[in-house]
Amino acid sequence: MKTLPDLIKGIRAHRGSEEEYIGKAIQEAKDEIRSLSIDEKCTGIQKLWYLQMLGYDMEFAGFHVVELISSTQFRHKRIGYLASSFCFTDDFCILSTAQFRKDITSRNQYECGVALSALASVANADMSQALMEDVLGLFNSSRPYIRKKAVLTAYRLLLKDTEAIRTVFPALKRRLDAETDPSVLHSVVNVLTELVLKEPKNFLGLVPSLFTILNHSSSNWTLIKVVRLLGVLCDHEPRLPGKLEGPLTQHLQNTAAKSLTFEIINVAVTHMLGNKSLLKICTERLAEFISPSSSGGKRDANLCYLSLDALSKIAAKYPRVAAAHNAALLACLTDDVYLIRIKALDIISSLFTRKNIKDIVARLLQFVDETKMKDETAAESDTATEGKKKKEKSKKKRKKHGLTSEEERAFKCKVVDCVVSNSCKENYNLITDFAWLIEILTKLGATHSSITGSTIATHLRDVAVRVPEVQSYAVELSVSLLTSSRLSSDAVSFTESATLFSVTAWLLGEYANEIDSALVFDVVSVLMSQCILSLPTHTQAACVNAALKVCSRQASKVTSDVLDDCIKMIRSRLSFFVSSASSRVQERAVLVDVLLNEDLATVDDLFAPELVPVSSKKQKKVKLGGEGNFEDLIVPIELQDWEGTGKEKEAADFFGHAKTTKDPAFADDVFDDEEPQDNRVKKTSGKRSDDIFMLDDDIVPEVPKQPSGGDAFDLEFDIGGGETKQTSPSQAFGRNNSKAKQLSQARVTIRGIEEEDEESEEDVGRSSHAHSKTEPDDLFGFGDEGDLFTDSEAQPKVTEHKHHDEIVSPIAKDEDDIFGFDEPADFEEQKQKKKHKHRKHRKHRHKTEEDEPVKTEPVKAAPKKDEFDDLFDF
Amino acid sequence: MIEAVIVVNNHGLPRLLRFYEDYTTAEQQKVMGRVYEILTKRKDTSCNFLSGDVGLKNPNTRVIFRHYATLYFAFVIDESESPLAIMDLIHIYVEALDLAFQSVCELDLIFNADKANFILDEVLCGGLEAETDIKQVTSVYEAMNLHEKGKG
Repeated sequence: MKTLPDLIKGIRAHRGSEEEYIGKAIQEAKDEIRSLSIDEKCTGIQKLWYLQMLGYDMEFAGFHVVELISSTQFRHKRIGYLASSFCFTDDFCILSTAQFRKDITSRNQYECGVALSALASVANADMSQALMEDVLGLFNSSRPYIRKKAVLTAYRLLLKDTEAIRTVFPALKRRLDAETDPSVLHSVVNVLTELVLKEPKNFLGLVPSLFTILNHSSSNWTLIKVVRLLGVLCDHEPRLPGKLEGPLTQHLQNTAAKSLTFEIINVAVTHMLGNKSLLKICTERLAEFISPSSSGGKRDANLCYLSLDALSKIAAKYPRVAAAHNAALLACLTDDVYLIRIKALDIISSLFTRKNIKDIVARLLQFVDETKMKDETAAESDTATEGKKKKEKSKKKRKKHGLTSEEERAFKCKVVDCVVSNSCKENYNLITDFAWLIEILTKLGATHSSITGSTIATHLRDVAVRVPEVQSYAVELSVSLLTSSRLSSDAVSFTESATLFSVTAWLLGEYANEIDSALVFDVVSVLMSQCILSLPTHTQAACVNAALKVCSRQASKVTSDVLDDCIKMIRSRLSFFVSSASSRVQERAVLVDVLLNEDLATVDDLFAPELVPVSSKKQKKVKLGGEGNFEDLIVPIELQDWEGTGKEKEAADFFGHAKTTKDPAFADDVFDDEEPQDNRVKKTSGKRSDDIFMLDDDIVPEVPKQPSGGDAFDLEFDIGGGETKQTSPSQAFGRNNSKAKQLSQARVTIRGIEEEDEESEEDVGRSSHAHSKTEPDDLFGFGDEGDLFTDSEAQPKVTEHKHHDEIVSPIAKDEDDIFGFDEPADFEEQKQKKKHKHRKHRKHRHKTEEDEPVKTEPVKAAPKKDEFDDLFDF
Repeated sequence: MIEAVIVVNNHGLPRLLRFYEDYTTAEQQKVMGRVYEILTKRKDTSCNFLSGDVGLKNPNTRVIFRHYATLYFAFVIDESESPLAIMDLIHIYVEALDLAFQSVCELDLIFNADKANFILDEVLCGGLEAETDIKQVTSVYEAMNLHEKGKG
């Protein structure tokens, strides 16, 4: 007969064929447990129990385990009871109930002890009912050991037989009040904690007894449980937190046990948040655990993690309390433990306010740069040492004590994301200085475009369009961003940074007159550089377009030499784009080619109308009206018409096939002045504008799908034409020269609509002011919560960093303090004043600058054709 | 309460498994494997608390563990326990083992798995802390051994 040690040795000796060996062993053990010899039975059970741990079921041996616990020898009993909790099913419970009762009431405390331990594990409902009385009887045993085990076992029986609570609870309560032995008392408190957590309000009567224990117990184990218990009861007894404050503060100050300290802090931050003086002490203790200096330079990861966890609960309610420990939190960002870093960053995210945002962001960015530098130096030293062993060693070292490079990268992403999302959250609510925001965004764009390029791009464009005061600064930074931009090649970052790249290009084109004349050539050469060709097509198209806009805008500013250089360069590079596989890029390039033959001032006029921010919700408010039937558009008719006249056919060819662009006569023709017009596209001949924008028709069918689009479209005709309110688009698109003006305006509007659709999510609309006619109050988007300018809190106070003096935004001019937000009492009033002033100012500006009747305003303000993308995309 | 006690070595071999709710042998092995998988991914400098579902009936469990030489001692607990206290409790259990086996090592646990369980039964009873005094634990254990011999 093999013993258990033999079996274990055997398994170890049969590496590789353990299964087989164990199979044999189980067979042998099965024989053994059927043996008449109790010793042999015991060995068999012992072996089966061991194999159970390795994953071999032993339920079949249950009956023999019952036999074993009936043995008179303690050795057998002990093994039997141990095995019982691994193999007993209901059948065996019934079989063994009598034996359990016999052992529980045994005069030997150890036999009673093992039986109670086993009973706690195996009892089912029937067994609980049958034995509860016996177990409760043991509550009054003279031996603490028995009392302790009885209390714990009673709880387990209670779980199976919940009805018994009526008898168990009074017994427990008596034990709680009368118990003198600390470990029995601990067991009672332990059981009560479990019960209270299940249904706290049924146990409020326990408070006085628990309170006494809290004041008099010297066992930290018991105190931890009592504190937890009383904490839970706080939620149901409003007077309790006040009562607890004193004792808890005292324990907090006196105890050296971290576990008790943390239990008290945990209770304070979860159940007693109203209690400020206790909370203050807790925060101090937490700060000690978080800051590295307290524990000799190295934080205990467990304590630090728990502290951060508790602090995040405080921060949720009292951000300022947590904000006091900013420095310690920031220090946690360099911790070796990833979880701690994340936790600390979470808390920091919740601490952003108008006042501290600059500081926090500066620290976070510094941190990101630092880790970046560290990475780089580490990489350098790696390559420098080259010795393979050393490399491996350092790698291993880093893996053990620091973050893996994956974690490091993931964390950096989180930091950058935290900065961007918190700075821009709630419609830029926290930002008082948009120039600073632009600076941060471009800075992150330069270094981390691969991580959050598209988010940065969105916000960059958003701010530049909505805050006119920072446009020139945005352009300045965009120039450096674009010229310094490194385009990385890996897949994710590629799309991310490409998005940023195209938005930067768009910004430069849109606000090209802000570009420093000295840099114009550089900008254009970047926009047209060959590496652009490797970018996604939408970026290429944006770049080509921006290059043209920069040239046309700057035509009057730069010397003719520079301009010529620029044009020459664009021309030389255009060929790459003209032969692009993407129709969008090709189209754009061809158009640029044609327009470059024109007088650039004329071209500039095409881009002249100003972009104004309009809430994305605005357009939806414009009702669909008129007789415009957008369903049957004109494409087939138009084509027929085109075929009718030679020139138009030529134009059709032109747009169909790029080759025609080489016909200079045509290009000249396009801009033939036939009849000057009073709007911004005045140089375009009516007929030609028809032709040139013939492609609009291709996209027109899409327009009706957007109610807002259709509407603006309609209104545009109305205003631009200045006569017939009900001009239908189909009429306007007729071959009638006299409608040319309207048509050109319509085109402009369509662009706007397209843009609008594209960007509606960003609250940045470019739309005509046509709406102002119907809704004069909403001229500037006031009254719509989606609009930056309606929200006084979001109103920018703009500082021009470049010159270090304030360009005060129109509103701030009069009331510098308005953005201080220090006196919340005055806030509403200021809001009102500001709103009023702002409105006044804007109106005034429009009048003086444009000096035109409101009627023509729609045309002026009509969205700019900054990108031809959508228009010509088919 | 403490839902399970799992002692597993660095290679994922179980040295002691104790579940205080009903789980089949296969389920126990699954949970053990899961816990081991999580534990080996941890660095020694990381926290000793892991929250997350390890496949027990109660999904809101935390694994509190200590790593001693070749062995991981992991207690799976529910919300009612204090993680720091459980850390201490694990240490108490290991010290009790140490006293019982005179500087315990993995081999002791392999060949005396039953004894390790007996000691655990003195520290925990039905998933609740029964005794937190090392001396008390050891003296009861010794007394039981004497009792076993006296009768046997």
